[in-house]
Amino acid sequence: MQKDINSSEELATLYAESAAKELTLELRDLAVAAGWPADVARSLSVVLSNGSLNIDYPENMDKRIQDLEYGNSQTPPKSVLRKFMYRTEGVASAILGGEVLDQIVMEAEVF
Amino acid sequence: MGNPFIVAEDLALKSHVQGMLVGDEKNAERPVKVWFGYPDVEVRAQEFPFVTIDLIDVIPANDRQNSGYLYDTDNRGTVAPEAGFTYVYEIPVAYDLVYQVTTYARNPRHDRALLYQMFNKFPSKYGKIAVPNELGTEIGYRSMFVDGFVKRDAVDGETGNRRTLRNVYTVRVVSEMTPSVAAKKLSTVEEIIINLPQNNSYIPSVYEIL
Repeated sequence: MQKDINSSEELATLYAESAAKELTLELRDLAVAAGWPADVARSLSVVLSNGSLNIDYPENMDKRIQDLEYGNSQTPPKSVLRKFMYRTEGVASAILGGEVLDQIVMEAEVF
Repeated sequence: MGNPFIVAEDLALKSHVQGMLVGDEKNAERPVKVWFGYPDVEVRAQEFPFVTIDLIDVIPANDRQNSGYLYDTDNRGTVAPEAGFTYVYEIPVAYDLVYQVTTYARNPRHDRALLYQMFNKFPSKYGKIAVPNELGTEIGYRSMFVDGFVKRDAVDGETGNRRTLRNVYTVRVVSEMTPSVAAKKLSTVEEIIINLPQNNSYIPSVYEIL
């Protein structure tokens, strides 16, 4: 079903939600490639909350994820969350590029 | 000859971290050892406190990448300057090296002493490490940023019910690699010479050519 877009905010949200789905897949791929167990990798997701994209996972996974990310007394760090954040720093501007900026310009009539 | 890209930063970071001392009631000046990776108990004794360094990521720093050519007389410190010689080379490829620097301690006093010294060595702003050039004649200072800090103390389970006080620093070191280094490591085939027989009417089998 086609959704009516009335404002630049709605358009940005739509793009961000779509990006969150793609980023979730990328994050899980990165985790699997780094050697994280499949169930831990599957528990990771990227969500849109309060206007920003954040990494999310179930609370009961916290200890395992932190141990994998930072290592512990038995295993070295297998960084995934930090790698992912470094690589997606420019994603917000990419989401807001093109169509969203056009919409903002039209709304604000800055031409 | 000095150390190339990544190896130079590894050693510079280790040198930067080394030299810390902590004190307690038994030893007023206990040296803090530094390892690349967690010390394997089968290889060496784990003497707390200690520090580990892990390279966790190498990121192309496209946001500060320039292009073009630079000129100098010592090829960026890799050869001795000679009169009349000028070197031209491409602007280096910018990279950020991301390290995890972790401190391990059993004693809370050691942990606090390490925290104090580490925050002096790794300030959130204006941090830098000294990286010697390949000739060892000059020292370049690389900017360094603390991108994260977490306290990861463990009291049971993984440590066999022994307390381990851990501090994890995520440190980003600004670096660069000269294209000539990459070119040397990945040289391409430019010419293939095959000895073909003189008599053109004779077509040899593939086995004869090989």
